[in-house]
Amino acid sequence: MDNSSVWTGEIIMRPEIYKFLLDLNMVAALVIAQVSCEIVQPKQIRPNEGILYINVEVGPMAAPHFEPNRQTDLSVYLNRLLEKCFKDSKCIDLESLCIVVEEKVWSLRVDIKVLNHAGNLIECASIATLASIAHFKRPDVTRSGDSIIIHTLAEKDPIPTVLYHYPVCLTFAIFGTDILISDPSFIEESVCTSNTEEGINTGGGLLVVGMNQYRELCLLDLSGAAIYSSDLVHRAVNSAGVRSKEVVDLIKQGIVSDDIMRQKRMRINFSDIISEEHILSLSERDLNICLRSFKDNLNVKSDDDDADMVEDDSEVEGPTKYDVKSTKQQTVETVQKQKTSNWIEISSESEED
Amino acid sequence: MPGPDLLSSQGLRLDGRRPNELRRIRCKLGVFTQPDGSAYLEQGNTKVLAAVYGPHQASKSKSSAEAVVVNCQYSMATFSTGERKNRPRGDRKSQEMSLHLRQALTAAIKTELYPRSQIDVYVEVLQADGGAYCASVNAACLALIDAGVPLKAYVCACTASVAWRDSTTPLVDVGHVEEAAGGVCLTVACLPSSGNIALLEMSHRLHVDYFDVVLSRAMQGCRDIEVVLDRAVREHLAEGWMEEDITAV
Repeated sequence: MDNSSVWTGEIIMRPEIYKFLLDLNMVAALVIAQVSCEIVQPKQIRPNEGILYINVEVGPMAAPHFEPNRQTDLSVYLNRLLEKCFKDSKCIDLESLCIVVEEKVWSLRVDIKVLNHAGNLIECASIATLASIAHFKRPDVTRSGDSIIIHTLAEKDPIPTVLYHYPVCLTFAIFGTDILISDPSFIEESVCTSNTEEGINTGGGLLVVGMNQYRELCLLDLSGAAIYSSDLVHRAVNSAGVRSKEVVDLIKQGIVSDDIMRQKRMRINFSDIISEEHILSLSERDLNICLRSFKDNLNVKSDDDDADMVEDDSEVEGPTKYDVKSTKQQTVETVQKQKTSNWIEISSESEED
Repeated sequence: MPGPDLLSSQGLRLDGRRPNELRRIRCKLGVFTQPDGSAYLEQGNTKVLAAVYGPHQASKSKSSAEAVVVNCQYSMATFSTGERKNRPRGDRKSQEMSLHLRQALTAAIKTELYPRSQIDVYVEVLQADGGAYCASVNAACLALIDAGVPLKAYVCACTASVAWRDSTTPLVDVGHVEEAAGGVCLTVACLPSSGNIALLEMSHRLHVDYFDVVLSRAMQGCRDIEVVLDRAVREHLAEGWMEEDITAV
């Protein structure tokens, strides 16, 4: 019953300018992970280390029994597992995120939103987290005297995060005394854990094994009823060794192919549509797209009708920086150049006041 | 795998113990009058208080028709750690601990005996010096026994780590210094008499090849703790009889 290597996932990466989104489509469990970075003051105990913050949100969108705006046991469980998997195993070089000791470090924030709960959430979320961290690049920073310059992507290439190893969490469902199922579905998960609530001594539970590509255990967690022997754990750990390698290879492959695509300036997935303004705000660009196609239709019927229409025309005809058509032919970098050419400067002196 | 030096050249650990040696466990049952059962447990410098209320009627939202609901609250006193804690409970770590505690205790309690009822377990860590979760499970187990809640077996928890000097030596019952030094820390809660594993938890990194050794050392630790707890319970019961006889007269 130990059917390892059933994992048929698809990792979709979405390039953006400062944010890197990642979708993970595992059979039906759907998770979106996003990494963002900002400069903060480091913690006092670790003045030369950056900060990694992982936040998992489980909303009612994922499954009807989740309540909105509440920290449920599940979200605490997921959060802690991911924190243990990525923070405690020290997979990220946090010291490389330091800019000025005791003053400024990068803080990476990984936001994971569960879109669809179809079982094996933790595996899905951990792969999404790992892939998004591995895919993430932070802007380059140079220090000149007391001031720090954060370079835009146009000026300097962004720096990828240093990962020592790639840990992933793999789930095994345990039924009875010696049945082990890898990558359980929602129904399998609820069946094997519900045994305990009914007080029947069938024994069953979920075993989460975190492992990296070197067959090193990073995390272990057992929930549900007690299991009968350590032999089961032994089997699960061995099978996880094989599967973790496959998953990590898949992630690495995805990142490499994404990198190649970028260098070739190819447009993948939704990168045509998605850009900074779209996801952050309902800014004019959306409006302009509507009006543009609208105008074409209207122009056929009546040339000069409303005062409003004339205003729209003038707005669209001019080569605005929000023009969608022109962006399509250009690369991301050139668009960036047009928009923000000035440096963002942070002076350490001014903040101390 | 490079790791911190947890073993001296004489084969002794940072606090002078041998690799397979537990810290001293001292415990006392029935320390409070209000709860149905209570216990105080010291494991080295880790000090834990546990109180059990119930089984009593469950609140409507929690009630389960099949089995008793075990409600656990793990909290760490603000003065328990080196750096003062701002939130004794409610942060993610202690919420997780509460979940783990419930898991381990549910595995030991004969839950099917009390449908539609609830058992509350409150655990307060007074001093955390490594292995606070283990001490909590052990103390809660004693408190449950003191409360007279039917258990399948003792539930004991123990941690284990690995030292990398010369050869790989598993270490049992990890202290705070060893924990902070960055070694692996495998926590196991089990029912030693049947060998059932109620909870497994691990942090940091450990190669698969060494996993079995560490796990078996942790299980051995659990068995050792069971002996200590069993003796404490027997002593307490003997004591109880004597005192009651005296008060009756």
